[in-house]
Amino acid sequence: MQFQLTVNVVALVINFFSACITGLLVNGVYFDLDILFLLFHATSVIVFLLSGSAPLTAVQLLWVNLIMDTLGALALATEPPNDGLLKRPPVAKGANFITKPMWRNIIGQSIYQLIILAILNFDGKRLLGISGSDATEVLKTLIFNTFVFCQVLSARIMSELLVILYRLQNGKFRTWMLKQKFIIPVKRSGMINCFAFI
Amino acid sequence: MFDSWIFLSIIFATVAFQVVIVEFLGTFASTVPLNWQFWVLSVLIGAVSIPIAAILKCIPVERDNSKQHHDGYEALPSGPELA
Repeated sequence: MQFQLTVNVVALVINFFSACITGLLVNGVYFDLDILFLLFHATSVIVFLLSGSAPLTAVQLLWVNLIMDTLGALALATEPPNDGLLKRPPVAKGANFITKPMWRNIIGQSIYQLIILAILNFDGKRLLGISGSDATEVLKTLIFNTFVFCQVLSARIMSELLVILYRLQNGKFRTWMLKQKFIIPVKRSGMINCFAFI
Repeated sequence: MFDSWIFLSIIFATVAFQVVIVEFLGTFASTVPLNWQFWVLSVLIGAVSIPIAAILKCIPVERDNSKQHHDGYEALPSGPELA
């Protein structure tokens, strides 16, 4: 009886600690991915704010916003945690949320997109030889299309790089987690791994 | 690199919706159908942002390495910062 109770308590404590570690890992990875979400979003928002004359209509703007939200939320959902998170110091209360390399990327992409939008907006008809009765509509549609592809493709490369970085850091940790049965062996999907984390 | 199938499928869905919006939802989204030259042009302009992203990553920015931790903690990993 006594022995049984001790075993139970020990099992409980072990469970408690492993649950704590799991929670820490999930929190850490969410912090990273929050930053990534912001990174995706900030580029598009800055371009919109600076472009001023609003070449896009409300519906188009909503569509671009939806794309950016989807990409950001996708980043939140698909990255598995890594063991480096446990070695981190706590993040300071006043620490910068957007680091300098992130500002560099955001500002760089914004400048490129603004230049392209300005050229198309102010001189597009002459440069591309658009004429006819619906020239303005064609130009506006082209601007909208270009903007969407800028967002999709620049976000694409960012996420792919991040996925590669996580994969590189992740090999050993994943095998350990699989051995401890913290995660179930699913081949490809990071999202399923995150949800199997309980 | 291409095994994150959720990511890829959402990208493809986004592009498919974009085509539908531009070509068929003209009255709703105030667009007109574009000819293929303009489609290629917009995809190309978008694709230029990939080499631009690569070039931007070569610009050195100072990282905050001033804080030394007395108990052997590692500094923040550079994953999201590089992204």
